[in-house]
Amino acid sequence: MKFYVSKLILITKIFVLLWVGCSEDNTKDEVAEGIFGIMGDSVSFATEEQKQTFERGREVLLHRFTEEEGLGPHFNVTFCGSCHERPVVGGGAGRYRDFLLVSQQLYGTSIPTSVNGIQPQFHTEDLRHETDPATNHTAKRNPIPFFGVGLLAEIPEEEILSRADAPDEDGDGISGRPNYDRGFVGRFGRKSQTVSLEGFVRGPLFNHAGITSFPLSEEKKRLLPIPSPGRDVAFLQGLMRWVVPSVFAQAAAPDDPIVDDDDVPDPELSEDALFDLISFVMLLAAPEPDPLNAQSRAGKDLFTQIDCTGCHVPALRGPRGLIPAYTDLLLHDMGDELADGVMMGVAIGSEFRTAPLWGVAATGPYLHDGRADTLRQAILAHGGEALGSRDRFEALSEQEQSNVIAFLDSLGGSDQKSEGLLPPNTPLALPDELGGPLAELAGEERARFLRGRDLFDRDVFLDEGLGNSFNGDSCRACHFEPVMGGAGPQGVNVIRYGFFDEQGVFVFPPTGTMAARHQRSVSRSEPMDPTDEQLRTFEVRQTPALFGLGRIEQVPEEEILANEDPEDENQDGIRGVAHRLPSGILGRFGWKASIPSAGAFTRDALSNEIGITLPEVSEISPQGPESQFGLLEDDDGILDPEFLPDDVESLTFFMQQLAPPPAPERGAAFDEGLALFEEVGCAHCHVPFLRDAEGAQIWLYSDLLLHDVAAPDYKGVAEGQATHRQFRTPPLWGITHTAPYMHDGKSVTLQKAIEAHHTEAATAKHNFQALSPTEKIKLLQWMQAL
Amino acid sequence: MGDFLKVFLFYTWVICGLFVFGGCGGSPSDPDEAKRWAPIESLNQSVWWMNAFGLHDVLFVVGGTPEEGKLMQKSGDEWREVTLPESVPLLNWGHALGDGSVFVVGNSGSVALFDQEWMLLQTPTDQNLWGVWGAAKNDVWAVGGSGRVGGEAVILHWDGRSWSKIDFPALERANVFAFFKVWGFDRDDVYVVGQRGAVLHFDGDQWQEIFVDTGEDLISLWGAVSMDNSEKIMVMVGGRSNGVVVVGRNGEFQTRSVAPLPGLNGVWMNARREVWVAGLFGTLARINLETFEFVREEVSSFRTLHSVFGIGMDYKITVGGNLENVEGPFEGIGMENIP
Repeated sequence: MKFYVSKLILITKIFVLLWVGCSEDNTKDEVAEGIFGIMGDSVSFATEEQKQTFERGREVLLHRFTEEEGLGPHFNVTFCGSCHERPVVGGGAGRYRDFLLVSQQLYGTSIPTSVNGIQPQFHTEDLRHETDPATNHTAKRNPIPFFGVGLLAEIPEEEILSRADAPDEDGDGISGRPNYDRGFVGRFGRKSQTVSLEGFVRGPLFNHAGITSFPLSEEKKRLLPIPSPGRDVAFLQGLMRWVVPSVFAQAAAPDDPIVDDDDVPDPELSEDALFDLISFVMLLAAPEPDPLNAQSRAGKDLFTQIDCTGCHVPALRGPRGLIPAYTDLLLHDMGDELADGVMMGVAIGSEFRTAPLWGVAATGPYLHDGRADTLRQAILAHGGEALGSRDRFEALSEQEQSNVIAFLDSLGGSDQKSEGLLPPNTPLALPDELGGPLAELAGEERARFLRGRDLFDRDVFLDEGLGNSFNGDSCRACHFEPVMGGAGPQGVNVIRYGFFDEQGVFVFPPTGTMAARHQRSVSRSEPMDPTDEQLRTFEVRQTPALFGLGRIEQVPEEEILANEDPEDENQDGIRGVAHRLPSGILGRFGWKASIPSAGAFTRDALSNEIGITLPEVSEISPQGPESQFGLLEDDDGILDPEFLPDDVESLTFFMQQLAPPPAPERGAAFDEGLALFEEVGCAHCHVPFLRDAEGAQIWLYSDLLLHDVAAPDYKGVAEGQATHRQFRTPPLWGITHTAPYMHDGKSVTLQKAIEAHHTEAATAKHNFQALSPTEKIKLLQWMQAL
Repeated sequence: MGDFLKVFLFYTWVICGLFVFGGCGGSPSDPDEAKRWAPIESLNQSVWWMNAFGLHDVLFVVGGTPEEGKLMQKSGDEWREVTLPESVPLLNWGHALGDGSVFVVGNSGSVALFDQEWMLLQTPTDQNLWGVWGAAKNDVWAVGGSGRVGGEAVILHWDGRSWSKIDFPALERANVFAFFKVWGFDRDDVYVVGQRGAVLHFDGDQWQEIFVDTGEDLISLWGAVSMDNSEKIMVMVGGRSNGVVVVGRNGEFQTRSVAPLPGLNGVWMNARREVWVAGLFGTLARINLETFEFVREEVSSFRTLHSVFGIGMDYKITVGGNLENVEGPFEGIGMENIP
């Protein structure tokens, strides 16, 4: 009896859904209403309640997860927005967010290795996530934008299947076949390997951030903004595909709870937060297309004439009307050049989903691995079934090609297109704001600062010299927390490595200590030195904020040296060693105080982190310390130098002019906190201020010296004269904006950071621990206000 | 939507509801109705059912919850619970031998044997055991593993007196942390399937890794020998997202994705070499071994089906549950197809 009752309930549901489904006019030939918007906004048909959910979801997407909240143990990023930021939250990302799919290729099969076939870069315990020894194949992926995906989720399966032509029966050279996910037609991912947005959120959340989640309950699923009834209806849909519209495919989310082995109870993401996040993704508006002008209209015609529309079909019919995403959501063989060897679902290595083109103007780089910086490059990289269209495009005149590109640019987002992440025409921050200049700038200086800012923000393209190895494809890629010029979260940590010989002496690798996260080539080769792995050691280093760089540069050397006490002559247990560089100049920037000036910092970072070659220093500053920094040439095939002298100067100027974080208000509370800070002993190294040549105080809370504050058994990576245990005292100004703390970012709070101090800082740490709870809070609040 | 259509749908709904309720009271009048799958009401629906197995007229189902295993036996038309000497965790699979002995295996290395009476056997593993098969009462294999990094894929052998862990060659296929099922044509022709498409073959002397052209998890397998003994057919199924079917004929294997059938957990083949498979979302289907085409059979359930089994040519049973819901509440399902 129970069975029959449940059967009746199911049938009732089907009829109710049919009823609701039929009340929409499914035969609309017009573009669906309310689906477009500014990228990053919600669809206009969202209810007020859904819009609130959307905003909460955006917060979840931007939330930086900490180890205490479940980050890791493996991770690539600390928040979802890391990879979905271009041109705004919910979009794609530059090459610095590329990730690797890894597998063991064995007798023609592809077996995912590492974490569900994703290679994490970092590990909360082991710092660097080891490459699975079984991995013998890697493929690069560039993050995929989410705009309008909720609308694609609603496309009925039969609409997608109606365009499948797997054996190419019509003989047009274009076949197209569906991928499947748990029995439903796939539509998301580079290979259409996923059908549900819940799955497309939960999977990457775990694979890239190590955040576990449980599936949404049936009740929650039913509340999602895109119809997502429970699995019961999904099941019936499976049985009755010819009757029931396939809007229920959302229900085919991976059902399994995702758990991990860290100490944080699973699920690490609450059901409410997961619901908000999925709702955000589902409600993201499709990019609003521009009205066609003469050029883009001509381009549109050409787009059809050369049969790009064979795969990039202008619109699919959804329950709201036509959805002009310019995709058929089917798999197509794109030829050997694009093939990545990755098999997902029924997709083989050369098959990819037709990428939606809405918003394509603002969501580069293009293709699955981001190999194309421009739309023209992307078109010319097409092969396989698209070879005919590609050849026809190449045969067009230059003007005609421009028309096609103009048409593509018109498909939404052109107003939001940025060379980096700063929205077009972003005003200059004020001098008292984070990211603003030291003082009001005008005229040429203002223009130079803005040019430097734009250079800092903009991505370096492959044909502009992005390095064979690189950590970021722009300065902003690492320095963006909380605003451009700031610090970077753990997901952009730099990995350094080296060796210890059998006597325990640090040995520098012949190729340098940098283990870059990315490579220019499509697949990654192991960048490590093949020396005995048992002796290898890694160190991760956080991205420091650059605010006040120019002010620190103005501290005279003698002011720094005055605090030096290498032999601990005052016997306070604190030494403090200046890092004198081979040129004889003092280093003062970086975790190892290995960089002497803003100019040197610019050159070092451009070459070491981005892989750019630079002009001879003599062209800029013949006598400067910069001469020791920056690569003059490399073998990436791009003409050296890849950066012009004027660009280097503008960039340096921008960093020199970045103001220190706004100073806290002075008064009794400040003085009281400062007194505690000094009493505890923090101020021995975190010297509250240094003076510039004019005697003005620079309240940076650092002596700019090297200290050993590492745990007794710590083995790090040496740099120059700085031993593997020494670190420069980091300035504390603006510290509230730069969590997590310490060089490795393992200290989530200031208190944990203090407790992570050892050796020279052991006394100060013990003094802090001996404070009363009230005093501790007072001190920590004071530090947070710096 | 027009009023006419709404009225039409409403009355269709009413008629349909009456039809369904009408089915509650007595035997169906449609002869085809008799061949449909019907729920086994007497099976506890608050636990998972992992496997149905048996021999001749003896039929068992095993399952339970992660903490407590359950074993049911069918006697005539009635199902009765079998009480084991001690509590065991979830029971995953079973195998009945011609001499009347029965082996069941479960989580944390649990094994129970019926040989005149039920007894629990000590095993040298605490890994979950997912499959068991034997050629004889003193020649039984059990396989298992956690399936997670840090776990261990294990093969155990029972020689009539004790279980021992069997060494097998290091697999070329990496990261195999579980074997899921074992099945053999004879004592010297035994197959094991497992994680990431792992397949091992035992020739009576040693285990050897073989490759069947898939990296998908292979969850279950079944075989049959042709009447003239000229052909041994082996069917392996699996896939976590899309269904995968591997058909072996005398050791030569062909592998296909059978999408849109979703991931498959169970397979059974009768003497006519008709094959049924069971899987996600209440998937039950017959597979054509020549073409890999399939025909779904309606079981009116969206629960995961974990096993399908039959006795003779006509009786078939499939069991499963909300296996994804590891935290509970647990829901189980058993359906049978009785002529």
